[in-house]
Amino acid sequence: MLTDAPVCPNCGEDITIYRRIIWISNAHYNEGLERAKVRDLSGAAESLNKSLKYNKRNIEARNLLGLVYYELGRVGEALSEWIISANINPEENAAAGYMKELQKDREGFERLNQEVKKYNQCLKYLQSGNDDLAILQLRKAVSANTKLVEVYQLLGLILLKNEQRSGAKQCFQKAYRLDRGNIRTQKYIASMRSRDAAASDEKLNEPVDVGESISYTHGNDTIIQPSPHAFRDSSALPAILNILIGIAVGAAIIWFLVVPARIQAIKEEANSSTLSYSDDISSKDAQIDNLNKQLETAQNDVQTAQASSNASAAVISSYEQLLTMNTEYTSGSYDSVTIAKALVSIDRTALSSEGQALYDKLKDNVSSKAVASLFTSGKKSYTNKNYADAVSTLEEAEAIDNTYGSGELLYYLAMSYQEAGSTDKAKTTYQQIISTYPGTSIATEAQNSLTALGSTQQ
Amino acid sequence: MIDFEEELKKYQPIPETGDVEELVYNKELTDMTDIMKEMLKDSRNKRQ
Repeated sequence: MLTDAPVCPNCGEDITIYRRIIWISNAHYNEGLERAKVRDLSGAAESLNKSLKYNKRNIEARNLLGLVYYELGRVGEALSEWIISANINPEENAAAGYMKELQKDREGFERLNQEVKKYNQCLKYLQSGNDDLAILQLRKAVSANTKLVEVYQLLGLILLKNEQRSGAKQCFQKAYRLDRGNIRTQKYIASMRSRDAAASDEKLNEPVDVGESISYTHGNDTIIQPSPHAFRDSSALPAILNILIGIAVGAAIIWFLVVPARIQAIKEEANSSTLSYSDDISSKDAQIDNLNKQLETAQNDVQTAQASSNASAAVISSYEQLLTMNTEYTSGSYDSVTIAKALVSIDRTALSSEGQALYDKLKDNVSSKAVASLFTSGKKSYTNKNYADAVSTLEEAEAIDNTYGSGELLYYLAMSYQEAGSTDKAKTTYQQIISTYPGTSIATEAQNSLTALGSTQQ
Repeated sequence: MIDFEEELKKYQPIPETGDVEELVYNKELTDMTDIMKEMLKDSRNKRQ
Protein backbone atom coordinates (compact mmCIF):
# COMPACT_ATOMS: atom_id res chain seq x y z
CA MET A 1 0.00 0.00 0.00
CA LEU A 2 1.50 3.39 -1.03
CA THR A 3 1.96 6.18 1.50
CA ASP A 4 2.42 9.95 1.02
CA ALA A 5 6.15 9.43 0.66
CA PRO A 6 7.64 9.95 -2.82
CA VAL A 7 9.13 6.45 -2.83
CA CYS A 8 7.59 2.97 -2.71
CA PRO A 9 7.72 1.54 0.87
CA ASN A 10 8.51 -1.96 -0.52
CA CYS A 11 11.11 -1.48 -3.25
CA GLY A 12 12.18 2.13 -2.64
CA GLU A 13 11.53 3.13 -6.29
CA ASP A 14 10.64 6.76 -7.02
CA ILE A 15 6.86 6.88 -7.55
CA THR A 16 6.44 10.58 -8.32
CA ILE A 17 5.68 9.91 -12.00
CA TYR A 18 3.37 7.04 -11.10
CA ARG A 19 1.40 9.31 -8.74
CA ARG A 20 1.19 11.90 -11.49
CA ILE A 21 -0.20 9.33 -13.93
CA ILE A 22 -2.85 8.24 -11.41
CA TRP A 23 -3.76 11.88 -10.74
CA ILE A 24 -4.25 12.57 -14.46
CA SER A 25 -6.33 9.41 -14.83
CA ASN A 26 -8.56 10.53 -11.97
CA ALA A 27 -8.87 14.03 -13.45
CA HIS A 28 -10.12 12.58 -16.73
CA TYR A 29 -12.51 10.36 -14.81
CA ASN A 30 -13.94 13.40 -12.99
CA GLU A 31 -14.33 15.21 -16.29
CA GLY A 32 -16.09 12.16 -17.74
CA LEU A 33 -18.42 12.06 -14.75
CA GLU A 34 -19.35 15.76 -15.13
CA ARG A 35 -20.02 15.30 -18.83
CA ALA A 36 -22.19 12.24 -18.18
CA LYS A 37 -24.24 14.23 -15.66
CA VAL A 38 -25.16 16.82 -18.31
CA ARG A 39 -25.91 14.11 -20.89
CA ASP A 40 -22.79 14.73 -22.97
CA LEU A 41 -22.35 10.97 -23.34
CA SER A 42 -19.91 11.05 -26.30
CA GLY A 43 -17.74 13.51 -24.39
CA ALA A 44 -17.99 11.37 -21.26
CA ALA A 45 -16.88 8.26 -23.20
CA GLU A 46 -13.93 10.20 -24.65
CA SER A 47 -12.78 11.41 -21.21
CA LEU A 48 -13.20 8.00 -19.60
CA ASN A 49 -11.24 6.29 -22.38
CA LYS A 50 -8.46 8.82 -21.80
CA SER A 51 -8.59 8.05 -18.07
CA LEU A 52 -8.14 4.34 -18.83
CA LYS A 53 -5.26 5.06 -21.21
CA TYR A 54 -3.42 6.50 -18.23
CA ASN A 55 -4.49 3.87 -15.72
CA LYS A 56 -6.27 0.74 -16.96
CA ARG A 57 -6.91 -0.27 -13.34
CA ASN A 58 -9.15 2.73 -12.72
CA ILE A 59 -12.18 0.56 -11.98
CA GLU A 60 -14.53 3.51 -11.38
CA ALA A 61 -13.69 4.91 -14.81
CA ARG A 62 -14.15 1.56 -16.52
CA ASN A 63 -17.46 0.85 -14.79
CA LEU A 64 -18.75 4.33 -15.64
CA LEU A 65 -17.64 3.88 -19.25
CA GLY A 66 -19.70 0.66 -19.34
CA LEU A 67 -22.71 2.57 -18.01
CA VAL A 68 -22.26 5.30 -20.63
CA TYR A 69 -22.11 2.71 -23.41
CA TYR A 70 -25.21 1.01 -21.94
CA GLU A 71 -27.06 4.32 -21.90
CA LEU A 72 -26.10 4.82 -25.55
CA GLY A 73 -27.66 1.44 -26.37
CA ARG A 74 -24.26 -0.13 -27.07
CA VAL A 75 -24.80 -3.12 -24.83
CA GLY A 76 -21.96 -5.23 -26.33
CA GLU A 77 -19.34 -2.59 -25.54
CA ALA A 78 -20.83 -2.04 -22.09
CA LEU A 79 -20.52 -5.76 -21.32
CA SER A 80 -16.92 -5.90 -22.56
CA GLU A 81 -15.90 -3.07 -20.19
CA TRP A 82 -17.64 -4.68 -17.20
CA ILE A 83 -16.09 -8.08 -17.95
CA ILE A 84 -12.60 -6.55 -18.06
CA SER A 85 -13.34 -4.61 -14.86
CA ALA A 86 -14.51 -7.75 -13.04
CA ASN A 87 -11.36 -9.56 -14.17
CA ILE A 88 -9.02 -6.80 -13.00
CA ASN A 89 -10.75 -6.48 -9.64
CA PRO A 90 -13.06 -9.42 -8.79
CA GLU A 91 -13.73 -8.30 -5.19
CA GLU A 92 -16.56 -5.86 -4.35
CA ASN A 93 -16.91 -4.60 -7.89
CA ALA A 94 -20.07 -2.83 -9.10
CA ALA A 95 -19.49 -4.35 -12.56
CA ALA A 96 -20.56 -7.77 -11.28
CA GLY A 97 -23.80 -6.21 -10.03
CA TYR A 98 -24.48 -4.53 -13.41
CA MET A 99 -23.98 -7.81 -15.26
CA LYS A 100 -26.27 -9.61 -12.80
CA GLU A 101 -28.97 -6.99 -13.45
CA LEU A 102 -28.63 -7.61 -17.20
CA GLN A 103 -28.92 -11.36 -16.66
CA LYS A 104 -32.07 -10.89 -14.55
CA ASP A 105 -33.80 -8.83 -17.22
CA ARG A 106 -33.36 -11.26 -20.13
CA GLU A 107 -36.18 -9.68 -22.11
CA GLY A 108 -34.75 -6.17 -21.90
CA PHE A 109 -31.28 -7.44 -22.71
CA GLU A 110 -32.52 -9.30 -25.77
CA ARG A 111 -34.50 -6.23 -26.90
CA LEU A 112 -31.33 -4.07 -26.75
CA ASN A 113 -29.39 -6.67 -28.71
CA GLN A 114 -32.13 -6.86 -31.34
CA GLU A 115 -32.07 -3.06 -31.71
CA VAL A 116 -28.34 -3.19 -32.47
CA LYS A 117 -28.87 -6.04 -34.94
CA LYS A 118 -31.63 -4.10 -36.73
CA TYR A 119 -29.46 -0.98 -36.91
CA ASN A 120 -26.61 -3.00 -38.45
CA GLN A 121 -29.12 -4.51 -40.90
CA CYS A 122 -30.36 -1.02 -41.86
CA LEU A 123 -26.80 0.04 -42.56
CA LYS A 124 -26.42 -2.90 -44.95
CA TYR A 125 -29.72 -2.00 -46.65
CA LEU A 126 -28.58 1.58 -47.18
CA GLN A 127 -25.17 0.55 -48.44
CA SER A 128 -26.83 -1.74 -51.00
CA GLY A 129 -29.36 0.93 -52.06
CA ASN A 130 -32.48 -0.48 -50.34
CA ASP A 131 -33.58 2.85 -48.84
CA ASP A 132 -37.23 1.82 -48.41
CA LEU A 133 -36.44 -1.23 -46.26
CA ALA A 134 -33.99 0.81 -44.22
CA ILE A 135 -36.57 3.54 -43.61
CA LEU A 136 -39.12 0.93 -42.51
CA GLN A 137 -36.72 -0.60 -39.96
CA LEU A 138 -35.50 2.77 -38.72
CA ARG A 139 -39.04 4.07 -38.21
CA LYS A 140 -39.85 0.91 -36.23
CA ALA A 141 -36.81 1.46 -34.04
CA VAL A 142 -37.73 5.12 -33.51
CA SER A 143 -41.30 4.28 -32.54
CA ALA A 144 -39.88 1.72 -30.06
CA ASN A 145 -37.93 4.62 -28.48
CA THR A 146 -34.50 3.13 -29.06
CA LYS A 147 -31.55 4.76 -27.27
CA LEU A 148 -29.25 4.33 -30.26
CA VAL A 149 -28.33 7.83 -31.38
CA GLU A 150 -27.16 6.50 -34.75
CA VAL A 151 -30.72 5.39 -35.58
CA TYR A 152 -32.07 8.94 -35.30
CA GLN A 153 -29.06 10.37 -37.15
CA LEU A 154 -29.48 7.91 -40.04
CA LEU A 155 -33.22 8.40 -40.32
CA GLY A 156 -32.78 12.19 -40.22
CA LEU A 157 -30.14 11.95 -42.94
CA ILE A 158 -32.45 9.93 -45.21
CA LEU A 159 -35.36 12.32 -44.60
CA LEU A 160 -33.09 15.23 -45.39
CA LYS A 161 -32.06 13.55 -48.63
CA ASN A 162 -35.79 13.20 -49.48
CA GLU A 163 -36.35 16.89 -48.63
CA GLN A 164 -38.50 16.03 -45.59
CA ARG A 165 -36.85 18.71 -43.51
CA SER A 166 -39.38 18.83 -40.70
CA GLY A 167 -39.05 15.07 -40.02
CA ALA A 168 -35.26 15.31 -40.28
CA LYS A 169 -35.21 18.17 -37.77
CA GLN A 170 -37.24 16.15 -35.28
CA CYS A 171 -34.86 13.20 -35.61
CA PHE A 172 -31.77 15.36 -35.04
CA GLN A 173 -33.41 17.04 -32.05
CA LYS A 174 -34.18 13.64 -30.53
CA ALA A 175 -30.57 12.55 -31.17
CA TYR A 176 -29.36 15.73 -29.45
CA ARG A 177 -31.53 15.09 -26.39
CA LEU A 178 -30.06 11.58 -26.08
CA ASP A 179 -26.45 12.69 -26.43
CA ARG A 180 -25.79 16.41 -26.31
CA GLY A 181 -22.09 16.09 -27.03
CA ASN A 182 -22.40 14.08 -30.24
CA ILE A 183 -20.41 15.99 -32.86
CA ARG A 184 -22.23 14.44 -35.81
CA THR A 185 -25.65 15.52 -34.47
CA GLN A 186 -24.37 19.03 -33.81
CA LYS A 187 -23.00 19.21 -37.36
CA TYR A 188 -26.34 18.16 -38.87
CA ILE A 189 -28.30 20.64 -36.76
CA ALA A 190 -25.86 23.44 -37.62
CA SER A 191 -26.11 22.59 -41.33
CA MET A 192 -29.92 22.71 -41.20
CA ARG A 193 -29.85 26.03 -39.32
CA SER A 194 -27.48 27.64 -41.80
CA ARG A 195 -29.62 26.49 -44.71
CA ASP A 196 -32.77 27.82 -42.99
CA ALA A 197 -31.01 31.12 -42.31
CA ALA A 198 -29.91 31.43 -45.96
CA ALA A 199 -33.47 30.76 -47.15
CA SER A 200 -34.90 33.45 -44.85
CA ASP A 201 -32.17 35.94 -45.98
CA GLU A 202 -33.24 35.47 -49.59
CA LYS A 203 -36.81 36.19 -48.59
CA LEU A 204 -35.71 39.40 -46.91
CA ASN A 205 -33.96 40.51 -50.14
CA GLU A 206 -37.05 40.06 -52.34
CA PRO A 207 -38.48 43.34 -53.63
CA VAL A 208 -41.49 44.63 -51.60
CA ASP A 209 -44.11 46.55 -53.45
CA VAL A 210 -44.93 49.68 -51.31
CA GLY A 211 -47.77 51.55 -52.99
CA GLU A 212 -46.52 53.17 -56.28
CA SER A 213 -42.88 52.33 -55.57
CA ILE A 214 -40.81 49.21 -54.99
CA SER A 215 -38.28 48.92 -52.12
CA TYR A 216 -35.64 46.24 -51.46
CA THR A 217 -32.47 45.76 -49.43
CA HIS A 218 -29.09 45.08 -50.95
CA GLY A 219 -26.43 44.48 -48.31
CA ASN A 220 -26.68 47.48 -45.93
CA ASP A 221 -28.61 49.71 -48.44
CA THR A 222 -32.38 49.99 -48.92
CA ILE A 223 -33.34 50.83 -52.51
CA ILE A 224 -36.75 52.35 -53.36
CA GLN A 225 -37.82 52.76 -56.98
CA PRO A 226 -41.10 53.68 -58.72
CA SER A 227 -43.50 50.79 -59.27
CA PRO A 228 -44.02 49.83 -62.95
CA HIS A 229 -47.72 49.33 -62.23
CA ALA A 230 -49.60 52.63 -62.84
CA PHE A 231 -52.96 51.67 -61.46
CA ARG A 232 -54.60 49.19 -59.14
CA ASP A 233 -57.66 47.16 -59.79
CA SER A 234 -60.02 48.07 -56.97
CA SER A 235 -62.60 45.33 -57.60
CA ALA A 236 -62.75 42.60 -54.91
CA LEU A 237 -64.54 40.01 -57.07
CA PRO A 238 -61.46 38.73 -58.93
CA ALA A 239 -59.64 38.39 -55.60
CA ILE A 240 -62.45 36.37 -54.10
CA LEU A 241 -62.67 34.22 -57.23
CA ASN A 242 -58.92 33.63 -57.08
CA ILE A 243 -59.18 32.57 -53.47
CA LEU A 244 -62.02 30.17 -54.20
CA ILE A 245 -60.18 28.70 -57.19
CA GLY A 246 -57.05 28.31 -55.02
CA ILE A 247 -59.04 26.49 -52.34
CA ALA A 248 -60.64 24.19 -54.93
CA VAL A 249 -57.25 23.40 -56.52
CA GLY A 250 -55.72 22.75 -53.09
CA ALA A 251 -58.58 20.43 -52.12
CA ALA A 252 -58.25 18.58 -55.44
CA ILE A 253 -54.49 18.16 -54.94
CA ILE A 254 -55.03 16.80 -51.42
CA TRP A 255 -57.82 14.48 -52.56
CA PHE A 256 -56.11 13.07 -55.63
CA LEU A 257 -52.43 13.09 -54.58
CA VAL A 258 -51.91 13.26 -50.85
CA VAL A 259 -54.74 11.04 -49.53
CA PRO A 260 -54.01 8.02 -51.82
CA ALA A 261 -50.32 8.25 -50.99
CA ARG A 262 -51.10 8.35 -47.28
CA ILE A 263 -53.52 5.44 -47.58
CA GLN A 264 -50.90 3.50 -49.52
CA ALA A 265 -48.30 4.22 -46.86
CA ILE A 266 -50.64 3.06 -44.10
CA LYS A 267 -51.47 -0.11 -46.06
CA GLU A 268 -47.78 -0.83 -46.61
CA GLU A 269 -47.06 -0.37 -42.91
CA ALA A 270 -49.97 -2.64 -41.99
CA ASN A 271 -48.78 -5.25 -44.53
CA SER A 272 -45.25 -5.17 -43.24
CA SER A 273 -46.51 -5.49 -39.65
CA THR A 274 -48.72 -8.41 -40.72
CA LEU A 275 -45.75 -10.03 -42.49
CA SER A 276 -43.59 -9.50 -39.47
CA TYR A 277 -46.22 -10.95 -37.11
CA SER A 278 -46.81 -13.86 -39.54
CA ASP A 279 -43.07 -14.53 -39.52
CA ASP A 280 -43.06 -14.45 -35.74
CA ILE A 281 -46.08 -16.75 -35.56
CA SER A 282 -44.59 -19.17 -38.10
CA SER A 283 -41.33 -19.19 -36.24
CA LYS A 284 -43.10 -19.80 -32.92
CA ASP A 285 -45.24 -22.53 -34.53
CA ALA A 286 -42.11 -24.21 -35.83
CA GLN A 287 -40.56 -23.97 -32.37
CA ILE A 288 -43.70 -25.45 -30.81
CA ASP A 289 -43.74 -28.31 -33.35
CA ASN A 290 -40.10 -28.99 -32.69
CA LEU A 291 -40.63 -28.99 -28.94
CA ASN A 292 -43.64 -31.28 -29.27
CA LYS A 293 -41.57 -33.70 -31.35
CA GLN A 294 -38.80 -33.60 -28.77
CA LEU A 295 -41.36 -34.24 -26.02
CA GLU A 296 -42.82 -37.17 -27.93
CA THR A 297 -39.37 -38.63 -28.51
CA ALA A 298 -38.50 -38.16 -24.85
CA GLN A 299 -41.76 -39.84 -23.77
CA ASN A 300 -41.09 -42.76 -26.12
CA ASP A 301 -37.57 -43.05 -24.74
CA VAL A 302 -38.94 -43.09 -21.20
CA GLN A 303 -41.49 -45.77 -22.10
CA THR A 304 -38.84 -47.87 -23.84
CA ALA A 305 -36.49 -47.48 -20.90
CA GLN A 306 -39.31 -48.37 -18.50
CA ALA A 307 -40.26 -51.49 -20.51
CA SER A 308 -36.63 -52.52 -20.71
CA SER A 309 -36.24 -51.99 -16.97
CA ASN A 310 -39.37 -54.06 -16.26
CA ALA A 311 -38.17 -56.87 -18.52
CA SER A 312 -34.77 -56.87 -16.78
CA ALA A 313 -36.46 -57.00 -13.38
CA ALA A 314 -38.58 -59.98 -14.51
CA VAL A 315 -35.49 -61.84 -15.74
CA ILE A 316 -33.63 -61.19 -12.48
CA SER A 317 -36.63 -62.41 -10.49
CA SER A 318 -36.83 -65.59 -12.63
CA TYR A 319 -33.16 -66.35 -12.01
CA GLU A 320 -33.49 -65.70 -8.30
CA GLN A 321 -36.42 -68.10 -8.01
CA LEU A 322 -34.67 -70.75 -10.11
CA LEU A 323 -31.56 -70.60 -7.94
CA THR A 324 -33.60 -70.75 -4.75
CA MET A 325 -35.49 -73.82 -5.94
CA ASN A 326 -32.26 -75.48 -7.11
CA THR A 327 -30.68 -74.84 -3.72
CA GLU A 328 -33.70 -76.38 -1.99
CA TYR A 329 -33.62 -79.41 -4.32
CA THR A 330 -29.92 -80.07 -3.89
CA SER A 331 -30.25 -79.81 -0.08
CA GLY A 332 -32.11 -83.11 -0.21
CA SER A 333 -35.03 -82.06 1.97
CA TYR A 334 -37.43 -80.46 -0.47
CA ASP A 335 -41.13 -80.37 -1.24
CA SER A 336 -41.79 -81.40 -4.87
CA VAL A 337 -45.06 -79.50 -4.98
CA THR A 338 -43.44 -76.23 -3.83
CA ILE A 339 -40.65 -76.51 -6.38
CA ALA A 340 -43.04 -77.52 -9.18
CA LYS A 341 -45.36 -74.57 -8.40
CA ALA A 342 -42.38 -72.17 -8.35
CA LEU A 343 -41.17 -73.49 -11.70
CA VAL A 344 -44.61 -72.81 -13.21
CA SER A 345 -44.31 -69.15 -12.23
CA ILE A 346 -40.86 -68.78 -13.87
CA ASP A 347 -40.72 -67.53 -17.50
CA ARG A 348 -38.49 -70.20 -19.11
CA THR A 349 -38.03 -68.17 -22.31
CA ALA A 350 -36.39 -65.32 -20.37
CA LEU A 351 -33.59 -67.62 -19.19
CA SER A 352 -30.28 -68.26 -20.92
CA SER A 353 -29.58 -71.71 -22.38
CA GLU A 354 -27.84 -72.76 -19.14
CA GLY A 355 -30.78 -71.48 -17.12
CA GLN A 356 -33.25 -73.34 -19.30
CA ALA A 357 -31.22 -76.55 -18.92
CA LEU A 358 -31.33 -76.21 -15.13
CA TYR A 359 -35.05 -75.41 -15.31
CA ASP A 360 -35.76 -78.52 -17.40
CA LYS A 361 -33.67 -80.73 -15.12
CA LEU A 362 -35.50 -79.53 -12.00
CA LYS A 363 -38.89 -79.90 -13.71
CA ASP A 364 -38.13 -83.43 -14.82
CA ASN A 365 -37.07 -84.38 -11.30
CA VAL A 366 -40.04 -82.97 -9.38
CA SER A 367 -43.00 -82.72 -11.80
CA SER A 368 -44.31 -86.27 -11.75
CA LYS A 369 -44.18 -86.50 -7.95
CA ALA A 370 -45.77 -83.09 -7.51
CA VAL A 371 -48.60 -83.74 -9.98
CA ALA A 372 -49.35 -87.12 -8.44
CA SER A 373 -49.52 -85.58 -4.97
CA LEU A 374 -51.75 -82.73 -6.10
CA PHE A 375 -54.05 -85.04 -8.07
CA THR A 376 -54.51 -87.32 -5.08
CA SER A 377 -55.29 -84.39 -2.84
CA GLY A 378 -57.67 -82.83 -5.38
CA LYS A 379 -59.50 -86.11 -5.92
CA LYS A 380 -59.90 -86.54 -2.17
CA SER A 381 -61.38 -83.03 -1.90
CA TYR A 382 -63.82 -83.85 -4.73
CA THR A 383 -64.86 -87.09 -2.99
CA ASN A 384 -65.42 -85.18 0.24
CA LYS A 385 -67.60 -82.74 -1.74
CA ASN A 386 -65.08 -79.92 -1.04
CA TYR A 387 -65.38 -78.68 -4.62
CA ALA A 388 -63.66 -75.27 -4.24
CA ASP A 389 -60.50 -76.88 -2.81
CA ALA A 390 -60.71 -79.60 -5.48
CA VAL A 391 -60.78 -76.98 -8.27
CA SER A 392 -57.86 -75.05 -6.80
CA THR A 393 -55.66 -78.14 -6.22
CA LEU A 394 -56.47 -79.78 -9.56
CA GLU A 395 -55.78 -76.47 -11.38
CA GLU A 396 -52.33 -76.39 -9.81
CA ALA A 397 -51.75 -79.97 -10.95
CA GLU A 398 -52.98 -79.08 -14.45
CA ALA A 399 -50.56 -76.18 -14.65
CA ILE A 400 -47.65 -78.53 -13.93
CA ASP A 401 -48.71 -81.34 -16.27
CA ASN A 402 -52.13 -81.36 -17.92
CA THR A 403 -51.53 -84.79 -19.53
CA TYR A 404 -51.39 -86.61 -16.20
CA GLY A 405 -53.51 -89.76 -16.07
CA SER A 406 -54.24 -89.55 -19.82
CA GLY A 407 -57.19 -87.29 -19.22
CA GLU A 408 -58.16 -88.42 -15.74
CA LEU A 409 -56.80 -85.24 -14.15
CA LEU A 410 -58.74 -83.10 -16.63
CA TYR A 411 -61.89 -85.17 -16.09
CA TYR A 412 -61.83 -84.65 -12.31
CA LEU A 413 -61.13 -80.99 -12.86
CA ALA A 414 -64.13 -80.69 -15.21
CA MET A 415 -66.35 -82.46 -12.68
CA SER A 416 -65.11 -80.18 -9.93
CA TYR A 417 -65.91 -77.10 -12.08
CA GLN A 418 -69.37 -78.50 -12.75
CA GLU A 419 -70.10 -79.16 -9.08
CA ALA A 420 -68.64 -75.80 -8.07
CA GLY A 421 -71.04 -74.06 -10.46
CA SER A 422 -68.45 -72.99 -13.11
CA THR A 423 -70.47 -74.52 -15.95
CA ASP A 424 -68.59 -72.73 -18.78
CA LYS A 425 -65.20 -73.89 -17.52
CA ALA A 426 -66.59 -77.42 -17.09
CA LYS A 427 -67.84 -77.48 -20.68
CA THR A 428 -64.50 -76.13 -21.97
CA THR A 429 -62.57 -78.82 -20.04
CA TYR A 430 -64.90 -81.63 -21.27
CA GLN A 431 -64.37 -80.45 -24.84
CA GLN A 432 -60.61 -80.39 -24.25
CA ILE A 433 -60.74 -84.06 -23.12
CA ILE A 434 -62.84 -85.05 -26.15
CA SER A 435 -60.47 -83.38 -28.62
CA THR A 436 -57.23 -84.49 -26.88
CA TYR A 437 -58.19 -88.12 -26.19
CA PRO A 438 -60.66 -89.13 -28.94
CA GLY A 439 -62.00 -92.67 -28.93
CA THR A 440 -61.07 -93.33 -25.29
CA SER A 441 -63.43 -94.18 -22.45
CA ILE A 442 -62.54 -90.90 -20.81
CA ALA A 443 -63.64 -89.04 -23.95
CA THR A 444 -66.94 -90.96 -23.97
CA GLU A 445 -67.55 -90.07 -20.30
CA ALA A 446 -66.72 -86.46 -21.06
CA GLN A 447 -69.13 -86.45 -24.01
CA ASN A 448 -71.93 -87.88 -21.83
CA SER A 449 -71.31 -85.24 -19.18
CA LEU A 450 -71.25 -82.51 -21.82
CA THR A 451 -74.52 -83.74 -23.29
CA ALA A 452 -76.02 -83.76 -19.83
CA LEU A 453 -74.96 -80.15 -19.42
CA GLY A 454 -76.95 -79.34 -22.57
CA SER A 455 -74.07 -78.72 -25.02
CA THR A 456 -74.53 -79.95 -28.67
CA GLN A 457 -70.80 -79.81 -29.69
CA GLN A 458 -68.70 -82.94 -30.06
CA MET B 1 -24.50 21.20 -47.30
CA ILE B 2 -24.69 17.56 -46.16
CA ASP B 3 -23.63 14.93 -48.71
CA PHE B 4 -25.69 11.81 -47.97
CA GLU B 5 -23.29 9.28 -49.55
CA GLU B 6 -20.22 10.77 -47.86
CA GLU B 7 -21.97 10.85 -44.49
CA LEU B 8 -23.22 7.26 -44.90
CA LYS B 9 -19.63 6.03 -45.29
CA LYS B 10 -18.85 7.35 -41.81
CA TYR B 11 -21.40 5.09 -40.12
CA GLN B 12 -19.93 1.86 -38.71
CA PRO B 13 -21.76 -1.27 -37.46
CA ILE B 14 -22.23 -1.45 -33.68
CA PRO B 15 -20.85 -4.57 -31.92
CA GLU B 16 -23.56 -7.02 -30.83
CA THR B 17 -23.55 -9.14 -27.66
CA GLY B 18 -22.22 -12.06 -29.67
CA ASP B 19 -19.09 -10.00 -30.42
CA VAL B 20 -18.25 -9.39 -26.75
CA GLU B 21 -15.62 -12.14 -26.67
CA GLU B 22 -13.82 -10.62 -29.65
CA LEU B 23 -14.08 -7.12 -28.16
CA VAL B 24 -12.53 -8.23 -24.87
CA TYR B 25 -9.82 -10.24 -26.61
CA ASN B 26 -8.82 -7.43 -28.96
CA LYS B 27 -8.99 -4.68 -26.33
CA GLU B 28 -5.70 -2.78 -26.09
CA LEU B 29 -5.00 -2.72 -22.37
CA THR B 30 -1.54 -1.15 -22.35
CA ASP B 31 -1.64 2.02 -20.30
CA MET B 32 0.83 4.72 -19.20
CA THR B 33 1.81 2.78 -16.09
CA ASP B 34 2.84 -0.22 -18.26
CA ILE B 35 4.86 2.08 -20.53
CA MET B 36 6.47 3.67 -17.48
CA LYS B 37 7.40 0.22 -16.09
CA GLU B 38 8.96 -0.74 -19.44
CA MET B 39 10.95 2.50 -19.53
CA LEU B 40 12.21 1.96 -15.96
CA LYS B 41 13.16 -1.63 -16.78
CA ASP B 42 15.05 -0.49 -19.89
CA SER B 43 16.92 2.22 -18.01
CA ARG B 44 17.84 -0.25 -15.23
CA ASN B 45 19.14 -2.76 -17.82
CA LYS B 46 21.20 -0.04 -19.53
CA ARG B 47 22.73 1.01 -16.19
CA GLN B 48 23.75 -2.58 -15.50
